[in-house]
Amino acid sequence: MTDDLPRFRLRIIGVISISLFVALIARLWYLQVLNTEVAEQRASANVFRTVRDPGPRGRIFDANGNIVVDNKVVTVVRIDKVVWERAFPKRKKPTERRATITKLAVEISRSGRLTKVTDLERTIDNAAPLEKVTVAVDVDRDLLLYIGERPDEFPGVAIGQALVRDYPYGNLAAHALGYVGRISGPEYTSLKSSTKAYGPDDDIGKTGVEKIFEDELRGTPGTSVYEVDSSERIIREVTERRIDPKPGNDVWLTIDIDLQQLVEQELAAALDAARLQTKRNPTDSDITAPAGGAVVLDPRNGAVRAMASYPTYSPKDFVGGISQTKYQTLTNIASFSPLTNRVTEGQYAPGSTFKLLTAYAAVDGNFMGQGRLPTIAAREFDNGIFNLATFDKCEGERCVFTNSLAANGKPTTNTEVDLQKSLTVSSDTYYYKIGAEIGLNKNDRAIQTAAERFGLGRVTGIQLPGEASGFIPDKVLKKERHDKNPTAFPFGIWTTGDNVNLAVGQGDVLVTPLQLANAYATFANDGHLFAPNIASHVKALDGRVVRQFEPRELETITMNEAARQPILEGLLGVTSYRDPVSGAQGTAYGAFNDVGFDFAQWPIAGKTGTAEVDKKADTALFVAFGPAPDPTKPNTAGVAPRYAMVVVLEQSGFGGANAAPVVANVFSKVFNNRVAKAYSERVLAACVARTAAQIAAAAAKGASTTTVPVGAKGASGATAAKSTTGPTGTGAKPTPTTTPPVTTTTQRVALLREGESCP
Amino acid sequence: MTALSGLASRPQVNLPGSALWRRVDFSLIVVTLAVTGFGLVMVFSATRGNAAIANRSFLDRQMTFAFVGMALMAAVMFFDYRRLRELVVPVYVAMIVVLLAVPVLGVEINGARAWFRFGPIQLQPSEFGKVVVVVALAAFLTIDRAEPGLRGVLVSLLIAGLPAAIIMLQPDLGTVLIYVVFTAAIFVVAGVRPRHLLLLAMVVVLGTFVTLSAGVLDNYQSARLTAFVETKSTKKNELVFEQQRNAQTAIGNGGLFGQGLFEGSQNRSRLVAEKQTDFIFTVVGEELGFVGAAALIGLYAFMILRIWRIGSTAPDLFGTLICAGVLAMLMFQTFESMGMTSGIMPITGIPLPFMSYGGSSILACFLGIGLVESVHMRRFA
Repeated sequence: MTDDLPRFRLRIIGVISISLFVALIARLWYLQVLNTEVAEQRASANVFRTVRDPGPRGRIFDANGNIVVDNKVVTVVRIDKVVWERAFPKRKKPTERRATITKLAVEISRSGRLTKVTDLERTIDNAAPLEKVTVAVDVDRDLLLYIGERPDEFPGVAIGQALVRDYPYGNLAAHALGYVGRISGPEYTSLKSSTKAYGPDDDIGKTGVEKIFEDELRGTPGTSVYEVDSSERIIREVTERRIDPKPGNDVWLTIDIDLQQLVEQELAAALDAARLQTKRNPTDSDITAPAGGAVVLDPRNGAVRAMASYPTYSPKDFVGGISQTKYQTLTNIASFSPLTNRVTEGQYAPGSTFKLLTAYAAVDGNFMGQGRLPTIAAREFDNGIFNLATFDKCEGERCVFTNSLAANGKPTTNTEVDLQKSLTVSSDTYYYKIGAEIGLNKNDRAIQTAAERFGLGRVTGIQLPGEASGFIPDKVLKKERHDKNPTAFPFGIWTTGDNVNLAVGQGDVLVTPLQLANAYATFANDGHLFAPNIASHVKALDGRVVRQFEPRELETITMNEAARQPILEGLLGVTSYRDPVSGAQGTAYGAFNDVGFDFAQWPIAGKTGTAEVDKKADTALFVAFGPAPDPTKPNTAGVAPRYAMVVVLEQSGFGGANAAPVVANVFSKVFNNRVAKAYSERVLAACVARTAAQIAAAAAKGASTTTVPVGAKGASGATAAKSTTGPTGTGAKPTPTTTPPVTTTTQRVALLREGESCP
Repeated sequence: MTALSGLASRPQVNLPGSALWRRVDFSLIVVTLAVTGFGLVMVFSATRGNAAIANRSFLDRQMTFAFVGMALMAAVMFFDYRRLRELVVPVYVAMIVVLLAVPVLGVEINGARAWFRFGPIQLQPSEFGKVVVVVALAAFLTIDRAEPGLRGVLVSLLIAGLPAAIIMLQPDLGTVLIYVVFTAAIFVVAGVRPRHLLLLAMVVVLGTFVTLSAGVLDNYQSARLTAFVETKSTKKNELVFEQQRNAQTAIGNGGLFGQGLFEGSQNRSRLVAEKQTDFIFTVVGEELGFVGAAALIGLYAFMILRIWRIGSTAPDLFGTLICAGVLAMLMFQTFESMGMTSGIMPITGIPLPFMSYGGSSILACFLGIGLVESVHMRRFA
């Protein structure tokens, strides 16, 4: 054998070896340098699990710093997905899985939270692998015990705590505040990758302030990243990748919760009272007074001080999910859609409250004293009947318009009516003439223009979602509407009669209560049209103001002084004028007289409205502002009105009799500083408990005369019988000796709501 | 070297111990110890666990084996390899007996009955068998000076095939493959005729095909062998596919410089099974990156280069063949173990020499290096 042959052959082995090493290096270069992205992604997916920690939602405060929407910790039932999936793998144990879900759904339903098996199943299936899924919120103790005692039956099902919305004042301001609900599919799709990333089971503001300030209120969710091993056991938390959740910002409202409570009570009471009326004619529609709205603005800056809509709802019902049936009753027309905010979404014919704009248009457009119209100050007899034929040929349309009918069935008449008086006594005929004259004039859009300048016919821009725009009809809009839908709107031609109707706020004209209040507020503040603010500012948790909402003046109208003065005086007369001889009085005189309103200090300008609605009882409206500068009272010269208020009562009859008392009651309390403090439900419950204890103690003693005092008035009075305050403002506070004792807790609650202090 | 002579007739030159000492290839020793040290660190990383107090039990055992291995290597170095001729027959017979005893007396780990248990330690006779068969083949093929004919080839095949067949029954496919590879290497260097080699290659290919298709192998074995060429996970190879993917993910996750020692997230997650033994290279790849892995490959390459060099300068063909066998054994194990973790070779249970946790493997590897050193130290004899 030669020596070189084995060496040569060994070299072959060596060469093969080297090439193998080269292959290895090349492979590693590919894996570790060229193609690392995929591996890194996969590696991270293999071992890191991200769990979302929700950030607490911001709170909502009223103007005085009362928390009106809070968060509270509640007990919830959660399922630990890791344990659950290990116990009931979907593929291997579908039957057991399903059976346990069914059992759980039954138990949760039994504890008061109706839960469908399919819903529960979907919730569990949709949750991320490491998540703890919340399946029931605010459950009662029995369920806790039941589940707590059966860890083997319900593996991974645990009791935990969660933050949910809490409403210290119950239903107060429910429409303005809105409610929070589980995010919907479309919402989730569009928001899941926003900066405050949403999860599929997150809550989101659905209506009201909760919705419009969702971005501020929502907490920023944090994330905890866990490193897990191959069996999903947590090895450690990757603390350097942890992002702490951040609470949302607090929203401060312009609403005063005490005033809000008062307005809501008065609105409900007025509707209750309206239902007790008897019809004048058997042929009239029934007065059912099912719904209404009321709003109080500050004319100086457009701030909303109170906003009430009736019927109302409980935002609490939405906590932890609302049942389908319950939701349906809340949105049903048969139950008068309690979720609808009638102040911003309800559209009503304004009736005579519209005369402010007609009067302003007539003077500002220089129509008074021209053509067939009297001058501003000319006094004419109002016979209650207007015939369009006296102005123009009247063909194929309504020609005769009348004032509202008096008790004798004939149109009411008014003596000596000028522009000012036409508002005070609400003479329709006076405005029919104006409507006809303007309708025949070259400048035939004068009324619409005035209405638009005062903010009607378009959204006010309040910080609330879903605001309606109202409708100010004219030639073009009427035609457009007819062309679009000829069946519903058979007439497309604007006639003089349409203008006559418009002049008194009838026909097709529609306004929202908020628009109406804003129009009068604009008049009250000398022409500053504001977009109403319901929120004043937003604060971060550290107290820093992160957003300030300044008054938003949309337009400044140069007030026509010639128009302003007689109109203001006319409106002042609505609440306070009474001719001692003839007995003629302002249309809201009775309402304000009933509460003994102190006009010497606080003159109130107002206007009633009684809008006819097809086949329904009239809509009762009243709009007012004050304190207003009354030229006959030097002490009020130059005062700036601080409150403008609108009350609209559906199917309730006359505005003066039904709607005006609400304003009279509210204003008399507001100006006398007698607005009762709104108690949170917790305080109320404590007071009630204490009262109950006192009653029991008194009963034990057998002494019935020395118990808790009660006011002379009933629980919550209707329109009248509230004149406990004299003109001087000294409250006729009842003394214990003259009043029967409080015997029930309901009475106590009523008293607390009326302003009693907690014992 | 030039005066290579016949075998037994030549008088032994017994150098004094000190002179022999000076002929040691220290670079091979150093690189071997370097790889062993590297391995200890990686075994520790793979087994220390995630608890605050690291688990040292694997490290301690492995260290013990490493020291025993070094001692074994030293002993073998100073034993003249040429005297192995006299010992090889009884040792070979003893090995066959031991291998046959394994199915009866051995313990089963991971589905293979390949271990003997002596108290706390388990030994895997097939590992030591590799070295014995290398020496046996080298000895048989150098009985006469002629290049082996067909008869020689067949007897050689029998020498290697008998233990391989027994191991196949354990079953331990990986180890059998190592036998196949070093036998082939020894055949090549010994000068087996190309046509015989070709024939053998065909037999191996055919055999592989038959075993894969005839269902001789367990499902998991064929899945392991074929998973690396498939791109989609199937029900059959699901686990293997997953293992292969996770191994590559871990290596890829290392990137150029690695996640840092003890910082490999895939390592910590215990996602890769057997990461302290056959899949130790995934830990290297993830924690030390391309740089660390390439450095390790460099060490192996240097080790292989030294063995090759020693084989080339061996005083006789016996020494050359021993070197060729050890070289092929270490080379194949290194390539296969690294290759299967990085996805260019099928998954078979083969430990990475000097690195993977496991006593028998590390002892067998030190034995091999000891033999090579023994050849080297007698290159002028």
